Amino acid sequence: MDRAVEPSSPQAPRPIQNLPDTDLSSAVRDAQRGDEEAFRLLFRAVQPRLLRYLRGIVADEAEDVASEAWLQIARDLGSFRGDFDGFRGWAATIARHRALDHLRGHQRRPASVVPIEMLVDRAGDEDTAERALEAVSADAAVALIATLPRDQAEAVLLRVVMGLDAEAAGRVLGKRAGAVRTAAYRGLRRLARHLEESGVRAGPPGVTRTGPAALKDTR
Amino acid sequence: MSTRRPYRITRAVAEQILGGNPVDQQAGPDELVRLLAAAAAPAAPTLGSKVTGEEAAVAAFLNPHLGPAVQPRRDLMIKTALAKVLTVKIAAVALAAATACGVWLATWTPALHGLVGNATHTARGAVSHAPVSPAPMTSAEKTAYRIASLAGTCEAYQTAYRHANSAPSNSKIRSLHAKIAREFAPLIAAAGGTEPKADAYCRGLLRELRHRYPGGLPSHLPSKLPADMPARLSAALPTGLPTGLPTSLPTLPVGLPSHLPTSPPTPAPTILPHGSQLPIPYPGH
Repeated sequence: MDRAVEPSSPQAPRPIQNLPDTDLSSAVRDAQRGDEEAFRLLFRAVQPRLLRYLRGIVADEAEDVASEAWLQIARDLGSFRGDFDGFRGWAATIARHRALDHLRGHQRRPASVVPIEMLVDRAGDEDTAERALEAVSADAAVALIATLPRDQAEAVLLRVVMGLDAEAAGRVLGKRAGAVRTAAYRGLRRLARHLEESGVRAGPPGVTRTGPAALKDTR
Repeated sequence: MSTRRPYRITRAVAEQILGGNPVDQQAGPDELVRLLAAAAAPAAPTLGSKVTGEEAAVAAFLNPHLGPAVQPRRDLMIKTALAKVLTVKIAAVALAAATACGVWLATWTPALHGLVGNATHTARGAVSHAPVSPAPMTSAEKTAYRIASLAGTCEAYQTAYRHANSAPSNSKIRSLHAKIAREFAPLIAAAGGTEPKADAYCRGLLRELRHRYPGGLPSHLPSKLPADMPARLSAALPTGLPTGLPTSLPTLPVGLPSHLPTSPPTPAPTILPHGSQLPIPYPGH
């Protein structure tokens, strides 16, 4: 993860994920005072993750649902209290409510497209494939996670994609942190089994690997 | 031969992976880590670069009330969202008015077509069908309320209809038209049963209103919904609405006539039976 978001050169634009929490927390406060640029910063910091999380719930309707969520976020921002971590969870909560409204209206589940071949194809290439894997197959990965039972899928997505800890994810889902941990654990087990049965193999073995939720650390 | 045993992933390893901590490959399934890493790697936006939907969100931020004027036309995504919100809110007001007055939207058509040519008649008809009338309104208010509601519904319908027709893909077009068919069913039925007819009807209605009331719609509107509106509204609304009911009526222009006409316009409109095809365009327009 760190590798994926680091600038490749000193002149490269600075990824928002690399901004310290303090910057983004002050952006929250500035946006609440009406600062447009601060709001843009928050949007850019949260929207990519939000979209990916929503894709796991409403698939192709994610952009529309995200739009609705941002309308509410923009409207209610003044009533929000907290730092950027809290804002991210708050935004996820709003987005989730809009997504569930959407599902109730359409009785639709995400398309169960499991392009696992994409993962197979990309895993095992040379090191540069790491970045390609992250950039290109993200949707495939989310689609695979979305095939989990919804409680497991949401727990995994909130923790991995949104970068929330178990407590924050629990607040989004209206569950206790322990229930979120259990759901995520079961989801990971199921995913691991699925990958194993599909014969997906990673590339050359490394000694250690940084886990996916490094979003939290790389902001 | 692989020594990984992903079936036996432990809770501790799961927490390590989920928490983004380094995972010992001997203890954790590397392919799972890779999968989650891929899922967690959004296309990282950079400072100064825009993200899809940003202008729409900023427009909403700058104008939390989200009038149509703030819609950036070049952003289809926000058009979708705004159309939904506006459509739903205005349709909610229209449906609320229909429910409270005990009349189906379609039955407004004669009076609306004649632009309250016989306000007394419509008011009496409304009261006779109303199961509850907790907030009595004058005839002028009721009629004006209906006009405003239908005008708002028509405006929302036209916005949604145009947006649906300009959607970027066939599947989106179908999806939006299905939504329109659901949410504007009464209007479409009243206008002859098809979306194009509803569009033509709304065009005619709005043109007529603009012609007859160049200063804006009648102002005899209640300042707030009757007390029992919200409960009725929740039952009457179409599915898939955003939470939060409208708290006020659609904004109407100022400088309106203080009273609605009490005599039929000339030529007097024909009172159409329910579901009849509307004469479009309106006489003289």
